[in-house]
Amino acid sequence: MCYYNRQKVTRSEYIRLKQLEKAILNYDFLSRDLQVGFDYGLNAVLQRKYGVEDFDIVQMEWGFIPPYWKNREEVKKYREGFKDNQGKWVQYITLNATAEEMLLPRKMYREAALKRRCLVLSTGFFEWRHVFPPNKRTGLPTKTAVKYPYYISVKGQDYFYMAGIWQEWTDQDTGEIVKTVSVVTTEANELMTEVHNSKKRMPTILNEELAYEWMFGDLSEERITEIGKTKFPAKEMEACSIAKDFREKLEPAEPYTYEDLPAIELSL
Amino acid sequence: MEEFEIRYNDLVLNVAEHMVGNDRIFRVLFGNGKPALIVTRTTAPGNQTFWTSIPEGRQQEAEEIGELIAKEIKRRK
Repeated sequence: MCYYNRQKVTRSEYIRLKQLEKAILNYDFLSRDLQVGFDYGLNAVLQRKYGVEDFDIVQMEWGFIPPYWKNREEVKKYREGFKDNQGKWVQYITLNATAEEMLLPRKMYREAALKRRCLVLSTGFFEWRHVFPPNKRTGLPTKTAVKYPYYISVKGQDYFYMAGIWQEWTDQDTGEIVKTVSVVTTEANELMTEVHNSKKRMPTILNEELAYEWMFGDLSEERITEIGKTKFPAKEMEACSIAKDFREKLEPAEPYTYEDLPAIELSL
Repeated sequence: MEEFEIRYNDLVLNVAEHMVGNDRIFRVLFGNGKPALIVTRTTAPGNQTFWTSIPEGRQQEAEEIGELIAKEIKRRK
């Protein structure tokens, strides 16, 4: 049992609160707005100590920044997107690295996947399910989806590991050094196919054995891809619908029932 | 960033809401030279939730002021 402020808290909460302490030390309260969605915020990450089979819990900025992006201005430009000289839209969303592609030649994630694998601690994550209700007149599915948020977690586990790859980045203008991380994603399992039904992808969740191998193993490219493509068993996960304004709630993961939301049916 | 005021022991406190990573926190300014208080919701075994201070050391204030913050948020909806 863990204690924070002399109060009993769960182990995962203890880790979260200690990480929050560190994050707040570096937090600029004057300039940061309330952040939602793609917040590029700090996450608790297990990073291997150099040369030994041990790790530190560190904070990394979620959103991989390749070393050749020069400064924050350039990072912002690539993250938010822009039209290039030919009028083509260019944007890099680096929150996630696709397991099937991250080792391909010239991919920005390749070297990190080979040399800097880590584990992102998570208690659960949010995704949106797209539902196309029948048109009242024709009975056919409408073309515009109604989106319902879900909270997904691993049954019986306060926290779990997501495969990650990290990159240290230096702002060439200010000298700021920051560790950045991308969460590896894989094809959705049966549960996530129903929940994240627009993209049918999910984070690569690893059991303890695979997590150890991912971080400490001397792995071939084939094995890195193989572990990266791990589909965590759907029967060991749970998903519940939550309120659409979950970002504003004190307990964002609190279940919420929608009368018009069809239940997820799985044959596991 | 959302800001609002609450009354606590004859003081008007300024409260600012922030997201730090995925965590929702509230920073409370007393306006009388007292250090700012940062509070968040946490979970006890059995899923009971309560307010706590970040860092440790101001639990009683966190619980009292946290409840006032919760009331104000509910009132504003």
